[in-house]
Amino acid sequence: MKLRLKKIEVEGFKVFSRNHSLDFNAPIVVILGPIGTGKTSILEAVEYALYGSLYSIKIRREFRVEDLINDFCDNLAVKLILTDENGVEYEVYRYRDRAGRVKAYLKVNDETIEDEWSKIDSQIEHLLGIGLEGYARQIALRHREIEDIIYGTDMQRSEALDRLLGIETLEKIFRSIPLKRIEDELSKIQNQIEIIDIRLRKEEPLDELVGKLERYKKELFEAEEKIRERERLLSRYRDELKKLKEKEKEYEKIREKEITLKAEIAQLKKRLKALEKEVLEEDLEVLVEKIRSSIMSALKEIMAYKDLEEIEKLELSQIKLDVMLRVFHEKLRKLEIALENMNEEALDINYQLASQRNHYNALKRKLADLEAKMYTLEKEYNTFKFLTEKFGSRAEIRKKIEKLEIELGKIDNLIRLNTCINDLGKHVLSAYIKNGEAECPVCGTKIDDEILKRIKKRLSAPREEAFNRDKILKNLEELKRAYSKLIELEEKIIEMREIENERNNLAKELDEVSANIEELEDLISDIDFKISRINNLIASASSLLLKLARVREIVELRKELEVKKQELNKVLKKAMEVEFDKNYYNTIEEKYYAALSEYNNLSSYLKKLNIDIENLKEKIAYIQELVNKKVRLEKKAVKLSRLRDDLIEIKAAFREIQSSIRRIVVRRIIEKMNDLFQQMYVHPDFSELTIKIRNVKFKREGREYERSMYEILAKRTRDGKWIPALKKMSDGQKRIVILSLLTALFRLSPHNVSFIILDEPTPSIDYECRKAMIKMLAKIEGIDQIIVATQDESFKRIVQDEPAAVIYKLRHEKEGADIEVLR
Amino acid sequence: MSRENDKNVFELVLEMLEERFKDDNRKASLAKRIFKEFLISGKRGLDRIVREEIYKALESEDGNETTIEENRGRRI
Repeated sequence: MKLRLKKIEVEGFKVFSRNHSLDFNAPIVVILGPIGTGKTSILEAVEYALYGSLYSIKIRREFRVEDLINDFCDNLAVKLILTDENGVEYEVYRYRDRAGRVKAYLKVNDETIEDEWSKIDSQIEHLLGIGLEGYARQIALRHREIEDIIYGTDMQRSEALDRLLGIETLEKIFRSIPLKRIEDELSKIQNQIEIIDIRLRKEEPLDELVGKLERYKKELFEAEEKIRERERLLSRYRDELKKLKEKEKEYEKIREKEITLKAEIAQLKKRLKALEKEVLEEDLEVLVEKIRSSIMSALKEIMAYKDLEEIEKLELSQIKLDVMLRVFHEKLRKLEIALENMNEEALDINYQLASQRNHYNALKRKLADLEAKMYTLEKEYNTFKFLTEKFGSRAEIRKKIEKLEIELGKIDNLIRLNTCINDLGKHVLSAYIKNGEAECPVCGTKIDDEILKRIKKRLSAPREEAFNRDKILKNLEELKRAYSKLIELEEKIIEMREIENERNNLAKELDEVSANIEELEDLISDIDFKISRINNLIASASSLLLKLARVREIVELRKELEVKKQELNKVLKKAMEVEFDKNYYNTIEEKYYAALSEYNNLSSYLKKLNIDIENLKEKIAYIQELVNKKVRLEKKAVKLSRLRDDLIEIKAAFREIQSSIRRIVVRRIIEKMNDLFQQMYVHPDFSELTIKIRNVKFKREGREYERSMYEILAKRTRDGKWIPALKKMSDGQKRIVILSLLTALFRLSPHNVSFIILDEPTPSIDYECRKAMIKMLAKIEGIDQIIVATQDESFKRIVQDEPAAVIYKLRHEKEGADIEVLR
Repeated sequence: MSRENDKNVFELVLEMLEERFKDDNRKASLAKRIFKEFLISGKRGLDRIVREEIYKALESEDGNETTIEENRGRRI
């Protein structure tokens, strides 16, 4: 498959702000135009469409992809159509905006097969069979590359040719392998090894330290043996001491018991002596009888005959003494209870007596009060007697009162009548007295003054009835007073009678209380006597019992003393049996402490030895670590040295391979180049070309390098000599030589491209040679299409004979470059 | 034209490296890695490979030690 260009559309790409379309579907396409009209831009647009970048951006990094966008546009778009010999169309589209957003697709016969940018790159590379770098060197032949080869220094020329031959990478690799870095690392390691050596020199030799450690270990072993021996000895002493301590403990216990017993015996003796001094020894039987007698007498007093009988029946014996004493105590307790009861009874009687006495006194006071009242009431009684004697009984007085009241009523009526008559008379008299003279209303006679005075006197004079009324009224009041008094006195007399009765009753009661008091006084006297007697008897019995108890205690103490003495004898015997030797104990103890001290000293020594050994081990480990570290570092140094040697070898290999490949490629090229040269160069002065390789030493950045230099030689027809083409030939001849070389490279390259792009290929070449060159290129097998970008207007004439050639004319416009199709 | 003529430079380099180091796989592998990495990433790639190789050489079983603590342990 061989691909050729069919069409390109550009918009916003470099000088092209508007959309432009160029049809490349011709064997020769000439893009004409003055400087800056966009000839090279179109060629770059083809490169960008194919590879998404430019060689000058990606490899040389001369500018950025964003710089491809036209200054008046926000994005660029390039669409390129390629076609193969079978008419299959390949359309590749690339879009990029200033924000870095990209779009792309690859269509084959209008069918999208890929729309991912990076994948399109590899697809195109696969389709063309050549990468961006190869494309830039072998397909799109730039003016600059040609200029570098022709006019550059020997070094620049050689480098450019190496680039074209594809072997400059090997040169770069040769130069770039960073051996210095490895040298630096090696130097660092050597420094570290040196530091370790210095440290090691400061330390004692390792074998000496190991020897010392062995000695210490031996000492440690011996010390451990000794300490074990001491441990055994200590254990033996410890056991012995333990036994002795147990014996001592037992001995001490016996001694304590002995002391306690002796103290108890002394105490008992002291107590016995005191008791014997206190109590005169008396016959026990006599004492018992005395107690019995006292208790019996007391029991008689409280009439406890049953208890009496019980006491009487008790028989004295040594065995029954306790029983007897218990019974005595019981009876005494009973007597005490009885005594308590009697005391309570006496208290009760005393209380009754006091109560009766209080009652008696109260009665006496009440009787005195009654006597006083009686005396008052008796006076009232005499008044009553006097009134009844004077006015009669109350009923009689009542009758008299009623009679007088009737009489009084009659008089009052009479008085009222007389008063009316008098008032009437006075009224009448006043009515008939005129001017001091009065006339009789009946007869009409004049009444003289005398008569008038008499009449007036008569009318005003008090009447007899009035006198009687006052008399009756006086009697009536007197009777009423007497009547009232009698009522009052009658109540008093009733009261007096009641008091009299009460007084009599009180007197009787007083007599009774008095008799009671006497009786109670007798009773209390009896009880007090009895209590006193029983008290005495109980005190006597108690005293005797106490004495009896002391006597008994003496007997008991004597017995106890005997027991303690026997016990003491036993303890003393046991103490003899224990056989505890304090001196022996002390000796063993001293030996134990001496052994312990020795053991402690050995322990300290052992501890110190252990510390010394540990320190020594640490030191040995430290030195060992240093040695190990040194060994490791040395190993690393060896590895690094090996790496350095390897890289030196690899470096040399690249140089050798470069030379070999150079020779192979140059051999290939010479053949093709001559073939092309002979077709392109139509003049007879030079017939053949060759490339000579020589090694030259040079210095760069202070280091000396050796590299291969190319010399292109042309065989002069006149004398058959090989002369340096790029020094002796004219500019045009040189350009034809280089174009022959480049075209040979195109031929040799195993790609799928059938077009060649020439950017300004023929300055300084004469018209004939230019024409021959284009014709030759068009004839070369594998080149179906030639794209030429040039300022040279003569190309119009050169391609005149080529009917299928297309000529585009580019020119400057205000809004950027414009394209015109000339043919 | 010989068989060599049909091969591109890349293939020739790899073949020659293989031939040159046919007795040392490690060197052959390293040389090829250097060549490929240089083509892909340039000098940076080459530096990285050399860095890795240096790291491998410096790497030890107990880590990448650099210094040793001085005066460890007590003097006897």
